[in-house]
Amino acid sequence: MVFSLPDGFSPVWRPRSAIACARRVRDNATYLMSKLPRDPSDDEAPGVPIFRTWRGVYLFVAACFAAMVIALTVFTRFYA
Amino acid sequence: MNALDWFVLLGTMIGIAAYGTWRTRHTDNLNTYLKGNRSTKWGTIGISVMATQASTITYLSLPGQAYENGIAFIQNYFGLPLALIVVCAVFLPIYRKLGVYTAYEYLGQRFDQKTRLLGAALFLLQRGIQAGITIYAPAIILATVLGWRLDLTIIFTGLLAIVYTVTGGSAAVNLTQRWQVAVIFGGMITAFVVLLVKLPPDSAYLAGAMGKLQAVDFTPNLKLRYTFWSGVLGGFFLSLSYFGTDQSQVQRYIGGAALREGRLGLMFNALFKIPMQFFIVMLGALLFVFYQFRPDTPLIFNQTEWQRQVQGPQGETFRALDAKHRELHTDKQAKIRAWVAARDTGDATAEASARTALVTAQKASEAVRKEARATLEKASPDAKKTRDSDYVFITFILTQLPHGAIGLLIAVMFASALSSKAGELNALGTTSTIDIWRAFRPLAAADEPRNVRNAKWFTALWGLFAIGFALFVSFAENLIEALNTVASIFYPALLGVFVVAFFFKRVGGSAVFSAAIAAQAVVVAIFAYGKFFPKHEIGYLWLNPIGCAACVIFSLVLQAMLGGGSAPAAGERTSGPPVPTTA
Repeated sequence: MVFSLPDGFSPVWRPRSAIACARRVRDNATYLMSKLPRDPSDDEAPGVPIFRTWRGVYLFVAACFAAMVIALTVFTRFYA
Repeated sequence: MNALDWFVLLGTMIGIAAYGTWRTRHTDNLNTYLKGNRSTKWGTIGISVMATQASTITYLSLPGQAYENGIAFIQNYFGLPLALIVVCAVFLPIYRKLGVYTAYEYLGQRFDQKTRLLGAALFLLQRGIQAGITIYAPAIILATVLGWRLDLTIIFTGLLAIVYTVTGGSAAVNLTQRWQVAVIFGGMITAFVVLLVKLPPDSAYLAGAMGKLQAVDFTPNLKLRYTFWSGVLGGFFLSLSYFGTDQSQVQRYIGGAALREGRLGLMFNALFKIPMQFFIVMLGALLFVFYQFRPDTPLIFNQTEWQRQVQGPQGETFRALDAKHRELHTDKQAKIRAWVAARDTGDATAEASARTALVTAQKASEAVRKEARATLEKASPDAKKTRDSDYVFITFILTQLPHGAIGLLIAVMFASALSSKAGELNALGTTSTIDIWRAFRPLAAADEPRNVRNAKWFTALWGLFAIGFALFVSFAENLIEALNTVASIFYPALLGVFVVAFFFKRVGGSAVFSAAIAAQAVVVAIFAYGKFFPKHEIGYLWLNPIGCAACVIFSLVLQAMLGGGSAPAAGERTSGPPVPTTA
C-alpha cells in the first residue's frame, strides 16, 4: 500500500519558524492518522456520564491534574 | 511471623497463582495468550496497568524514600496524566488500528526491519534488567529482615510468577493482577490506619516543620532531582516512553473489547496515580513522625546487619555510635516538645526559634546516621547492596502491626512483586517471539500453536534470566531510583524513534536508526559524565527529554543529509512477516 503526498507537502522538510514547524508536525500527524484504516470504535462515545466526546474526557483529566498540582502547592505552603 | 501470618501469606500467594493457572489453563489461542481476553473491560485494564507499573519497590522503598527525603518524589508523577492523554489520543488508536501484538511491530511497518529490531532490542535490554531488579529488590530486604535465605526467596518468587505467566499468558496476568491489587490496597490501608492510630495529634504539622511535606518545588534548578519542572517535563517524557513504547504496558491496554476500554483504563490511571502515590509517600512522612516519638528508634533500620557488627570485632565503634544516637534522639525529642509547646502558645517568634532548634537537632541526628551508614558499609560489603531507607517500612510492619496483618503486608510485597513481574515476563516473551523469533522465521507466523509454544518458552527463559540476574546483582541507589534511572537511560532514544514515526513522515528508517544509536550514546555519555564528575550531574529525569530531542533532531539532520526519499507511511509494510489483523 503506497500513499500519495497530500497537497502542500513538499518532499524535503524545511520549517521556516517554530510555528511553521509545529504546524508541520500537526499536519503530518493528522495525515498519518487519516491514512490508517478506519476503526469504527474511533467514533464511539466514551460511554461515561456527562462526557460526549473523548476530547471532553481529556480536558477533564487535564483539569483534575491542574487541580491536584494546585492542591499540593497549597498543602506545601500550609505545612511549610 | 507466627503461624497465622504464614497462613495468610502462603494462602494469599499460592491461592492467587493457582487461581490464575486454573482459570487460564486452556489458553492456546495466540491472540488471547499475547493480548489477553478480548472481552476485557476497562476496569481490568486500568488495574492491570497500575499493577504492572507499581512493583514491590513502590510499596517497600517509596515510604522509606519519603521518610528520608520527604514527599518531593511525588513530583516524579506530574508528567504522567499528560503523557497518558497523549498515549490515548495518538499511540493507542494506531496500535489498535494496525492490530499489532507489540509496539515494535509498528516500527517495522513505519520504517524497516532493522529499526524494529533496534526498538525491540532496547526494550528487551532495559526490561530484562528491570525484571531482575524487581525480583531482587523485595527478596533481599525480606530475606534480611525475616532471616530467610536470599537465593531461595528469589527463586521461589521467580518460579511462582513463571508458572502462571507461562501457563495462561496475558489473560492470566490480567486475571491475577485484579486479586493482587485487592491484597495490596487492603494491606496498605491496614498499615496506614494502624500508623494513624499510633500517631500523636498534630503529626502532620511536625512533619511539615521538619521539612518532610514539601510536595511541590518550583526552583528552576537542573541539579535538583525532584522539582515541578523536572516532574512535568522529564516525568512527561519518562511516562510517555513507559506507557507508549514499553511493551509491558502496551500489552496491558492493546487487548480489550474495544478502543474505549483501553482508553478508559488509561484515563483511570491518569486520574488515580498521583493520589495513590501521594498516599504512599504520606505514609513514609508519617512514619518519620512516628519514629521521632519512639524511644527505641533504631540508628540503622537494617538491624540484622547492624547487630551483627555490634557483636563483631569492631563492636566498640558501633556501640559508640549507638550511644551518640540515643543522646541526640533524646535531645531531639526535648526540642520537639519545646516546639509543640511554643506552637500551642501561638507566639510566632517563639515557634520560629523552637523550630530552628529542632531543625538543627535533626541535622545533627542525620549526620550521625550518615556516619553510621558509612561505617556499616565499610565493615560489611553486604550492607552496600541496599539503602537503609528501604528497611524503614518493613521494620514498622514487623514491629508494630498485629499478627495476621503482618502476614497480609508481607503478602502485599509478594503480590506486587508477582504482578509486576508477570506483566514484564509476558511482555518480554511476546516481544522475543513476535519481533525477534518471527523476524528470522517469517514462514512460521501462520503456525499459531508453534507461536504460542515459543512465546511460552521465551517467557520461561526471561523468567530464568531475571532470577539469574537477581542472584548476582547489587545496588547503591535507593531501589525505586535505580529502576527509574535504568528506564531514563534506555527509554529516551526509543521514545524518540516513536515520536519521529508518528510526527515526522518524511524521515526514513536509515536516518532514524542511526539517530537512535547516536541519541543513546549521548544519553549514556551524559549519565557517565555526571557519575565521573558529580558536580555536573543533572537529575536523571532530564535525560528523557534530552535523549528524545536528540533522537528527533539527529533524525531530521540525517534525513536532510541523506536526501528527501519518500518514507513509508504507517500501514505500509516494508519487510517482516505478515501481521494478523485483530482490531
